[in-house]
Amino acid sequence: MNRREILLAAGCCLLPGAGFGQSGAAILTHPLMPAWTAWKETYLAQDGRVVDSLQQGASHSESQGYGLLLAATVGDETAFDLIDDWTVATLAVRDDNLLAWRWLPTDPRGVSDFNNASDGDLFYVWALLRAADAFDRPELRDRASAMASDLATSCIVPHPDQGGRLLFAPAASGFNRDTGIVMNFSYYMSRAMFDIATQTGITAFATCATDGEALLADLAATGLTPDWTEVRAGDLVTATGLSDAHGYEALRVPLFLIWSGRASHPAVARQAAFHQMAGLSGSMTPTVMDRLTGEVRETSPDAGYAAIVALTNCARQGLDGSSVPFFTVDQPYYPATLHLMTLLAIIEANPNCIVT
Amino acid sequence: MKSHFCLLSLVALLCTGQLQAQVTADPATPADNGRIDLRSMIDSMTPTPVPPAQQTLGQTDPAILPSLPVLERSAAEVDPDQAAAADVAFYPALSDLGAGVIRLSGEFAEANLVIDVPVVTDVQELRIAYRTSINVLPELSSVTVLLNGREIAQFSPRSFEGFATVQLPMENLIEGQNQLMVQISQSHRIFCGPEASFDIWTEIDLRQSGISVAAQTGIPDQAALRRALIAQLATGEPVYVVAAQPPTQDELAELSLRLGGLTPQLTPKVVVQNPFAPAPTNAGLSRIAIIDRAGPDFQIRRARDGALVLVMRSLSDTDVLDSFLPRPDPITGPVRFVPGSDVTLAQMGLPPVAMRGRYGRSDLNFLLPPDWLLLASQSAEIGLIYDYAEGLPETALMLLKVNDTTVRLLPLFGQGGEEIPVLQVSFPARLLSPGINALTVETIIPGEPPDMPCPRIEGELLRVSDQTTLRIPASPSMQFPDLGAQLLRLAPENIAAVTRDTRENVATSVADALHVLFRPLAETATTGSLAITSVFHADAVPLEQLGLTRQMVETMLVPAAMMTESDTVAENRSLGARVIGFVGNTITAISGLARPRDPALADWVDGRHGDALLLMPDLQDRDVLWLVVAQGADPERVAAAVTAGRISATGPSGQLSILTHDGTWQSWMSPAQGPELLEPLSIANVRTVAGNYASWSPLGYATLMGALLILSVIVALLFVVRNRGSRKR
Repeated sequence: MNRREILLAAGCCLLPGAGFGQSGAAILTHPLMPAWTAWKETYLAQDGRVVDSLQQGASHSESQGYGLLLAATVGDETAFDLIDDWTVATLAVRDDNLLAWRWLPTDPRGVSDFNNASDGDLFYVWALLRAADAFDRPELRDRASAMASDLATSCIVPHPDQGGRLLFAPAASGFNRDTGIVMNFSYYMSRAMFDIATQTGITAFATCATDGEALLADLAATGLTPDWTEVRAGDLVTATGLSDAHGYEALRVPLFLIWSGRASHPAVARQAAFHQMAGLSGSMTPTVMDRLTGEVRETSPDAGYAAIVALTNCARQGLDGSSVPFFTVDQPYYPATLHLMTLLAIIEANPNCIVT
Repeated sequence: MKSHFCLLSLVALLCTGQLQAQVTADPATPADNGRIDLRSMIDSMTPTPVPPAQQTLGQTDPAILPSLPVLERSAAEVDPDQAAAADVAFYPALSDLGAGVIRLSGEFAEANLVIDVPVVTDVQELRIAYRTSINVLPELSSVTVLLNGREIAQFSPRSFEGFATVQLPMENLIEGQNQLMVQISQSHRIFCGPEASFDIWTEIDLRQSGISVAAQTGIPDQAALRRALIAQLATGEPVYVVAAQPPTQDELAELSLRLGGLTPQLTPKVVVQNPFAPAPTNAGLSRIAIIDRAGPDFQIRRARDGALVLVMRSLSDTDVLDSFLPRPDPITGPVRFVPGSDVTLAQMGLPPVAMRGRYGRSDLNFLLPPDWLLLASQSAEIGLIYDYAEGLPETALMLLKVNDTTVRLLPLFGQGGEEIPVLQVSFPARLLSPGINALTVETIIPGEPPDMPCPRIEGELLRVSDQTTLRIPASPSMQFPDLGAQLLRLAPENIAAVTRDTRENVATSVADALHVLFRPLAETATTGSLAITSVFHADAVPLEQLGLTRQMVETMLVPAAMMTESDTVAENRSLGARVIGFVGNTITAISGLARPRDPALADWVDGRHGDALLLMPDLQDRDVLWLVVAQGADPERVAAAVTAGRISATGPSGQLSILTHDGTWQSWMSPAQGPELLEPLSIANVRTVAGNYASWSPLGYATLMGALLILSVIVALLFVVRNRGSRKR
């Protein structure tokens, strides 16, 4: 069963009388629609901002970008416009087309600084491109191109070794050191980068994705992907003062690789092996691990993290059917969103890892 | 190059210390929780000259400082107890008394619960949940619990409001099936007697009684899957079929049928779950996943939530289903009785009857051949062997009933504790009918005095030996048309809904439920069909052959909510109408003596209302039955009534039966339809056959006899006249 077939089959499940009792017009509905609806009701405020309760109720370019991508993917144009309108009105306050990274409800100014977060911008561009096709709105493609151009200008930087490789910096400002560039490899999303490169013609994104995958492979040779790494001219080293653990940032790496069709990537294998080594079962999932020893430093009961681990294990082993848990909103915004993305990765890239 | 300017700008800000106050607000170390402390990062940086142009970042408000986009991801501390609770699965107990909440009434009662234990060492708790009637006097009452035959707990029932949970010792638990016997001894706090018996009860909530085990316990094999599926059904939740492409209705019906074979007490529900949809309410014990690309025939896996998952390619793979969920065996049904000789209860496979309460009732069901028919004055006989306790009050009684008609009333006084000679109790054989019959023993032992709690009497108050005999005379092979007999021959695959639009979902629901509940009767050839439709589609039924109209059907199947109004109208009839009704009833009663049969259908249906009609519309095609279901009727209730009715003495019979709103069947037989002789008339059977016809229609028989008499007289007169004439000549 390929992606199209699984979409059709799962979509048919939602037709009236087809078994799931979904009422409405007899059109194909995205299989994620019920879960998206639950997500929307829980995390999306009426004004269009995606609320991250663990960040003092903040909204940020990441949450807005994730939400926008999901809305575009499931075909929820109303939610798409709602999220986009709020984001444009609130976070699009920089001199360029990128987004300020955070809005805080407790701050009278709302946006307290104008730095961006490149992953939020990346997903936002990708969402605009998907929406341009899904909703037949070419003007969104123009916006995506302008934003992609600024993102490339601000955050795609040369590798310190000056060998022609490109890096995707976490933000326009703040991560450049004398010794190298501080990187967060969970900001890489190859599928998005290749799509953006193809659709906007900015090939730097594709180069960046390819180079990033190679760097991730280098990291996987020694252990798990760390949350933060400093890329120097001749080496990948611990980013002084930043978490070297494989934590809440880096746990996205295998998800994005699998979603990008890179299930055989060494970083996926490494994470699957370390989780198996951790040997935890039941309701708790390791979320922070020593990147070299695999020692578990923190666990979480949230199903979204378990979903990534289950998908990683399934994709790595080539299983038919995975132990990815059913979606639930009984978890904070971040794991819930990763949970939805895991399901999307199954639908779009790994249908053999269907939830059982 | 713009990016380089931006980076330099931030570095400059960091170095001047402007950012430091902002980022040092959270001093937590990254190694602990994944958060980032920027202090050391800032310290490691060397000041870099900042071009003035780069300070335009955030220029709309000079007071706004750039920071690093770093987010707090750690959740709050998880309560260890809460986390541990999430890893525990609860396996409910089963009981042959039913599912959900079972009620134990009377002074003495017991329930045998079955608890299937996967791994003894992983059991964390064994418990029962109970509540008791406020009428129960705790000081004179007790609940005794035996595990595998050994007493493990005894307590006074004191939970009068909600269900209370009692934790039980687990030392005697064994791996596999455990028998948990709950024996109730309870006394009314004020009264003593049969009525008080009904008021004292203890309920056990099976869904809250059972064992808690580690969710990930045991090897995921076939036995574990079977155990988990039963437990899933026992929770009252459906078994979920996780499938991107929903299985067909036929496949789901087949699965339901097979799940129903796991344990007869539970009615399985199957729900299809979209794998990408939010989690269902409770799928935590077991489910089935369909993956059309699955490699091997099947796999059994343990899911993260502890559920055992059967992964298979398709529900149409009957080989896989046969290995996990074989089709249920046919039911044995009531004991088959062979008329013509004395048969003991023991020979019939029936147990002795023992009564311990002030009120007791025991039904002994047996099956007579479908072509057995005696309507005349033949007698059947019970050779009753019984004894009862000493000291019972003078008014204590035992009632012996045949198909709910009392055939003997016996005092339980004067011979208490003595050996009583065999008592021959004869009764009219016409009280019996082909098919299911019931011999009932009922005891009524008033209190002495009735307004005080009963004195505690240990042991049985009455015992009927299994050496008690029953003799039923043989009959010639005769029958009436009987839909009850046809129901016994019906196979579940021949039950189908006949629907036209979505309003008739009730018919489909009844058919689905019957597919699960209905099982063939062992040693009985299956034949015929049952078509189910809703009252909206009643015109699909060939009603005219019975003399019914659609309007009559709709009137009978009026929803229960509208019944009250009809009854009120009936009660408020005028005096004239009442007089006419009285006269009509009297005439009917008198005519009933001459024609002891059901009235015409139009009269019979008048005033009868219910949830469903079971029909045999065509006497030429008796294999075909129809079930018409009222809109708004509970499909499961209707299906359960049909299923139970086919093996009950009070089940549907005749040509038409109505399932009343109170759940009982009332049946009608056409008065025009006489008994049918299925064997040649002979000297041996002519008397019995004639008796049956005479009893079916005394007036017709008298008319026939009168005609024969007149004919005889005429013949005799002709003979006399003719002989007299020849003598004259």
